[in-house]
Parts: sequence; C-alpha cells; structure tokens
Amino acid sequence: MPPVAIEKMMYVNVVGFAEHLDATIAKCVDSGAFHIEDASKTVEEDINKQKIVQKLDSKNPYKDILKNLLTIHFGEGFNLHQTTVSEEVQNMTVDEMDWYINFVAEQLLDINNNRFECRQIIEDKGLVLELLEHLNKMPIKLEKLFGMKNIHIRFGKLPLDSVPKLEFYDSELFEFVGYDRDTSYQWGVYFVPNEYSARVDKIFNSLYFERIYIPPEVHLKPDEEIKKLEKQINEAYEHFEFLTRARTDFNESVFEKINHIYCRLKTLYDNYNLRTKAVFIKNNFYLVGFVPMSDIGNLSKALEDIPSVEIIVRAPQKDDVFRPPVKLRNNKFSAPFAMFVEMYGLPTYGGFNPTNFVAITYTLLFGIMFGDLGQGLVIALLGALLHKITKNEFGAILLRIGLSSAVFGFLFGSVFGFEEALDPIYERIGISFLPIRVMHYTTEILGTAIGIGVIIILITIIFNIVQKLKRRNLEEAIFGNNGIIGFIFFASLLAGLVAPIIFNVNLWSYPYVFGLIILPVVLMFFREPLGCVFKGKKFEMHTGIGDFIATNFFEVFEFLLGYATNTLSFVRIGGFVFSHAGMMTVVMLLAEMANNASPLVVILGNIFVMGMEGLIVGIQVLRLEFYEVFSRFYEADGSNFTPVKVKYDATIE
Amino acid sequence: MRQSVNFVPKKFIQNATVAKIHTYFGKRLTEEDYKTLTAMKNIGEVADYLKKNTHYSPIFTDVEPASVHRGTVETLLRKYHFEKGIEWCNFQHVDKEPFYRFHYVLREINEILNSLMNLNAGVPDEYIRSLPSYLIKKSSFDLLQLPKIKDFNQLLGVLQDTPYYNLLSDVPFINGKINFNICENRLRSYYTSRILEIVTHDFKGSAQSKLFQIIKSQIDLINVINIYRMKTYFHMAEDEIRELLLPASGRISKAIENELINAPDTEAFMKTLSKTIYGTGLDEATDASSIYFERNLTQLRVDNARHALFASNSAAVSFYSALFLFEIELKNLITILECIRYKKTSAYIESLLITI
Repeated sequence: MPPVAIEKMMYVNVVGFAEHLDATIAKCVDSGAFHIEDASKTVEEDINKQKIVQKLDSKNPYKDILKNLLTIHFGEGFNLHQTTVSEEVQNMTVDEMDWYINFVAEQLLDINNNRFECRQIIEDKGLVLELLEHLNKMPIKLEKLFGMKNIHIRFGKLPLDSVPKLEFYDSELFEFVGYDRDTSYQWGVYFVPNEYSARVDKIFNSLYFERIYIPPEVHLKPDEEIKKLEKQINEAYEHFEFLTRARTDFNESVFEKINHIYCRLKTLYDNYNLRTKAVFIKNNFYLVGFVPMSDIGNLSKALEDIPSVEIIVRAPQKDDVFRPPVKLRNNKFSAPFAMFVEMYGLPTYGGFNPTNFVAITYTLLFGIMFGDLGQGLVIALLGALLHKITKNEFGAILLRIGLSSAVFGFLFGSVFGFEEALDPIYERIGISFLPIRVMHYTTEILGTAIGIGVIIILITIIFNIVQKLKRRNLEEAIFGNNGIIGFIFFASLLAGLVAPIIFNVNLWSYPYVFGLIILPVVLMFFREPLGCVFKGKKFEMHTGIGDFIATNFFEVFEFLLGYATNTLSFVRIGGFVFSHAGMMTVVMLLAEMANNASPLVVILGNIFVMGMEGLIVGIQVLRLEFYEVFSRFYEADGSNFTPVKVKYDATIE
Repeated sequence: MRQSVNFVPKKFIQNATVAKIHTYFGKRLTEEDYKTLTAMKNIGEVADYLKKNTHYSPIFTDVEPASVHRGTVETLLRKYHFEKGIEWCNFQHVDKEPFYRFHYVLREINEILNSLMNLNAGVPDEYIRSLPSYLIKKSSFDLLQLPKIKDFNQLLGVLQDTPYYNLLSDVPFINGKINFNICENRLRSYYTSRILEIVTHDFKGSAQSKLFQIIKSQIDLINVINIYRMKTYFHMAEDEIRELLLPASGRISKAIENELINAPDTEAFMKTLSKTIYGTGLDEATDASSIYFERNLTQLRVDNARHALFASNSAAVSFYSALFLFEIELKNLITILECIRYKKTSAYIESLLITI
C-alpha cells in the first residue's frame, strides 16, 4: 500500500554502452524527475578489490570555456539567466562558441579598460582635489612650495593609529603639520630637508602614510587649481558616461546570443559533472537513482530513443544502500503549509505526511486566536496579492489564515475592534447566542481552548499508534506514552476530570481508577519487557535492576508531566483571544481620547495590532505545531527529492 | 537611566549582553565571503569588499580601497576587534568586573612578547611599527616606552609597576639573548592562572562550571598544539617540553600528557590523542604528519568555543567564546591579505582558513 500523501518512489537502474552516457544523462536531466545517487556506493567493494568497476574522474572539458564566459564583465542590467536555447546556438560547435565568447570578451575588455582608466583619472584627480580643498585659503602658489630647493614636502594622510607614534621620532629632522582629520586619517603635510628625505620617507612609509602625489601640472594657487581640476574631472566623467553607453549598446547587440551560449554550456557542463555518479563495468555505464512512480513512463519513453540503454525499475527494498527521497504530495488547500513541515524536517519515506493536519490545525488555531472580521479580511487580501505578485507560498498561507480569522471574527462580533458593528446582522439572522463576547465567557473560552488541545493531542496519539503498528514497533504502538496504553490513560484521566463538571457523573470507582489509570501507568513502566514478550523475544536487562527501576520511574514521570504540560500549553489559545480583544479595547480607548484624530488612531492601532499580534500569534501556533503536535508522532528524517537539473547560476566548481 | 539599571537583576542585565554578542556573531563572515575574498587580486579589492559587504564596513568609511596600505587594513581590523570587546563590556557596564578585563592582559602580554622578539633580533626600535596605538591609553604600563628600550633591563624598567616584572626579572639568558620561550611560558601561565582564579572567585554554579570547561579545554588544545610543535619542528627534549606547557588542564590527564610528550612518532602521537575527547572530535582522516594538522586542532578549539557560545546564556562564557572566535576571523583575514600579497592561489588560501 503506497504511503498516503508521499509520492511513491521507484528505484531505477539505467544501463547502457559507455558512449551513450552523455545522451542518457541529458534525457534524465530533461525529464526533471530523476533523483540521482552515486552508483559507486552499490559496488564499493568491487571498486576497491576487483577493479573491474571504475568511476569516472576526468576534467570537465567545458569548465575553462564556461569560466571564460563567466568572467566577462557586462556591467549592470545584463545578467546571465535561464532561457530556451535558440536553434542557431544548439547547432554551434564548442569551438564556435569559444570563438564567439573570446570575441565578446575582447571587445568588452577594451571598453572596460578604458572605463577603468577614466575612473582612475577621476579618483586620482579627486584625491588631489580633496587635498587642495583643505588648502583652499592658502595664498601661495604650489609651484613655489614644490620649487623649494632645500626642503621637500609631502602631502598625504596618516592613519590615526600612527599619529601617536610620531612622538617616537622626535629626534628626526622633519615637521608634520596636520590640517584635517576624519574617522580614519589625519590629513597633513610633512617638511623634510633634502638630505634626510629618503630616511624620513622610509619612516612615514613604515607608519603607512598614504602619500598623495600632486601632478606636476598643478602649480597655481589652490583655489585656481581647484577650478581646473573640477573641469578635468567633469570631462573624464563625460567620457566615462560615453564609454558606458557604448558598452550598453554593444551588450544589447550580443547579449542574447551570449546568454543562449551560456545556457547551452551550463547544460553541457552540469551534465558532464553527473558522469561522476556513474560507474563503468567493461564498456557499459551504470546509473542509479529514484524516480516518482508517476514519471516512470515518461522517463522510459524518453530513454527509448537511445539504443543500448535499458532501464530496470523496482520498488525500494529495506536493505537497499540508498533510502528513497521524499516528495510530498499535497492538495491545493494544504500545499502552502508544506513550508512549515519542511522547516521541521521531511517525513521518513513510508511515514506520515502531516501537511494536511498542519494546514487544518494551523488555520483553525490562528483564526481563533486572531478573530477579527476586518483584520482577517485585510490579511487575506494582502496574502492574496503577495501570492499573486511574487508567487510566495507565505502569501497563500496568509490568505487561508486571514479568511479563518474573518470567520471567527464574525463569530466574536469584532470588526477592526468595533465590537458592536455586527449586532444588526445578528439580529436580522436571529441567532441569539452570537456574537460570542469573549470577555464575558472567559472560563468557557479557556475550557474550549483546553478541549481543542486535548482533541489535537488524542488525534496525534492515534497517528502515532497507526504509524508504529505499520512499522511493527509493538512496544511503542501499544505500551508507549503515545501508544494505545497512553491513549487509554490520557483519555480516561480527562474523562474522569470532565464528567463530574459537564455531565455530573462521578467516574472515580475502584475498577475505573485501577483499570484505566493505575494499570496503564504500570504497563508504561514495563513497556520494554512487555514489548519483547509481544515480539516473542527474550528481554535482556543491560543495566542492574536498580538502574532499570530508576530510569523507567523518571521516564514515566516525564510522560505524565508531558501530558499535563502539553495540554495546558493550549491554554494560550484562549489567552490570545483575550489579548487580541484587550489590545483592540485599548486602541478604542485611545481613539476616544484623541477626539478629532480618532479615525487615524483607529487605523494606526489596527495596523499595529495586525502586525505585532499577527506575528506573535503566527509564531505561537507554529510552536504548538512543532512542540505539542509533532513531538508526539512525527519522525522527520527524510531526505529531500532533488531531481537532477541544470543550475543556472554564476558559480562553477 | 543609570539608576534604574541597579534595580534590574544581574541575570537580566547579562541576558542583554548575551543577546548582543549572539547578534554580532550572526554577522560573521560566511564561506561565501571567504570564497570571494580569496579570489581577489589585491588589497584594494579586499578592502572594497569588506567595506561594502560585511560587518567591517564602519571602519572603512574614510578609507580609499584603491590606495590603502595592507598594514593600515590590518591595523583597522585589529582595532575594530579590540573595540568590539570593549563595546560588549560597556553595553551593560560589566567592564569594571575583573573577568571582563582579561582581554587587556592578553594584549599586553602579546605586546611585551613582540617587543622581546625585536629585542632578541637586535632591532628593538622596529617594534614601533607594530605597536597598536589604540592600546596605549588602556595599557597598565607606558607602551610607547617599549620601542625605546635598548636592553632587557630597560624593558624590566618599563614593566616595573606591573605583575609582569616579577615574572620576568629572573629569566635566564642564552647566548646573550633572553630565553624567549621561558618568558612566553611565564606570561601565558600567569594569564591562565589569573583568569582561572577570577572564575573561581567571582562566579558560581553553571556559569562557573561552563567557564572552567571552555577555558580548560582551550588550555588542553593549546598544550597539544605546543607539544606537537616542539616535538616536530624543534625536536625538544621531554623535560624541556614539560616546562613550557601551560599549568592547568581540563580533560587531558597527566598520564596522557606524558604519553603525548613521549610519543616516538606521529602515529603514536595520534594514537594517544585519539584516546582523548579531543581525538574523537578530529576527522578520521586527520594525519599528524599533515601540514594541516595544527589547523585541524585549531578548528577543534573553534568548535568548542562555538558550542560554548550557543550552549550557555552566561555573559562571561559568551564574551570569552566570541572574542576567541572573532580572533580567528581576524587571523583569517590577515592570512588572506598576506597570501594575496604573495600571489597565492585561492585554493591554497582557503586551505589555511578556519571557519567559525
């Protein structure tokens, strides 16, 4: 019987002549349904011992040409991306593609080099300009300063860390004059006699002084030179812009073809890398992997075109080297919630897909905890827009939980915090018990919250029992705290507590207590030996009797505590119902105080509550799912189904 | 505002420091960052990348990547690392507590040793180049006097009013040079003993036990690395090695320590090491004769520190672990800068890096 809501996988062997490997891999990649495994792991011993089996380990012939393409700098707005390769490019040989790439690379290199030179000019002159701006008010011509025969001057900037170290060189013949400071540097100039300049230059070099060379053509007064430099910088900038436009024009003429070549080369490159997953026995290749049962037909049909290739399909076995990967199959309502399940971990193949359960419980609990008709509809609308525009699954989740909030908001009579806005509707419908005024029914709401929690816990225990029985794990299925005995204990305890209150019936008789409360606890205590008895095995105590008693005592204590804490954890559902109502009450009070600004306060208050409380409630419900729900039955050690495909990114190994 | 802090329980104050440190740790450099950095061709590109893409961007605000010195970049990175430690301490005013001043002592020790190295090399004034100016005001002695010393006595004179004076005053000379190994061992042993004393005195309960655990495991691994180095590169005698080990130990018993010291070859060394908890943390393929053996051991130190950072909600443990981890990140960046200067391949550079 195939596992419910988990795609059934088939274990696939593909065999053929070595020369047909590349074509086979290409078909497997195109199918989008082949999860490849390393075939050498199935024949590891043979590879080491007999050496009739070989793994392919050669350099990818497309690596260098692809690398060449990826290092081309196109500039902004031209990003290589996935696209359908044109027939023209499909028919190009590798040499032809290489030639075209080199042609484009050379042209762009030329333009980019010229742009780089312009930028260098702008930066170098910019530095000089920055320096001269600090000396703006100096009335001396620079040629006079640099024309000094016996003194050399050096402009530049000294890292702040080096400034205190100047004190160490007090005995040296130089004078450093700082004229400006920023967060990292002291800008300044030092004067040194000619005969000491080499020595002092070395000192400043060791202090990481960054010298700014004033070009020889800069010789007037600083304010005059500033005007000249500004003009030169503007001219360089205009040339830079011209080159940028030229590059854009060139890119527009070649980019489409280059992009097609990229896609083709990336396909060839990635497909070639997959060859390392194959093994070779004499002249035959051997590939293994998993394919969803629903896609087997398509793959077989695609591989029919390749002579010599045979595909052998069977169901996965327990003793296979590889575990089948997991692909979840969900309905339209629950599909977006797969995101939460995957966050926790994928179920084991053959296990239980909890997505449906998460979808229902998450939607329900969020709706109850965030019940407001208006806010719910706003969230639903935002979610719908988000999903439509960005295709983000989170948007689809917002749509569902928003509508659920709206439903419960209708029941609670709350519309954007206005508790009486729906009263006329209820009167017209004629339902006397609506709306449910949450603040008037605190005990009932808290009781209902616990009731919901109890139902959820009991359902999860049933899930666990079913799964464990399927796996023939009788110890856990029957005697575990999430097994049949645990179910009986928990249900009986709750029935005993609730019956007197609701039905005025006292269930606490001796047979009831002994048979349904004490006996299950004792059976849980002895679950290990009892499990062995059921399996027909002999129970072996690996530790002493004292350790056995102590360990099981504390484990059972933990189970009992777990029942209590997990149940009470659901009280937060009621808590958040009250907190939502309470927060909107505060918003309304502030609106009353604001008089004329009250519409604005109501709007801002609603936005704030939707944002903050929505986030908190979302996280709290997720916490309930992960901790109270999943911990009881969910085993998440499945691996993801990842069919081989070409990765259209800019990285190559 | 200051007054209200006094009414807040210490536990909550420290929780804020832990949260701050954890948040900062989240900004550490990733493997992608390292991959990009190691492929760069010059210092300017590295500075530009750090400026635009990492948590180091504030220190490069006024730096011109195209013209910056390698030394300036290194200095800025070291200063940032140092100031980060101070920032964490100042955040919730724990800077006055003795434990949170350990990183000053460590840096002072490093500077004394740098100065000693230059002195032994005959160029004591060269120390001025590496002297970190950001430490001048925080140091317990006049750092600026160190480049001016001409001999060991003058060094002792600078350290006159510090605990370092007594530690170094009777260190013997070898061939006219001060015995650097003994100086280093005494200073680092002092640091180790001092920090363990502070932990014993100022901490209790799980914070104390976690601090002991992390500090002593670091000491263990430092000793293992040093035993390895002294045997492999310097072929030192067993007694000499024993003298130069740090005094405290964590999970390596004296018997195991002796076995490591007496190991006749790398195979025996690895066999003994595999008996310890640290040996089980090493990759199965680790080979003591490999050039990456020390790197693998350092990786173990990093793994221990990272585990301590996440497993504890003590501010002291978080502070100690995070400082160490970011010290490694700093070393990674300096390695990258130096390797780029010497035109090493990115594959080679990556093999030297340690991920935190």
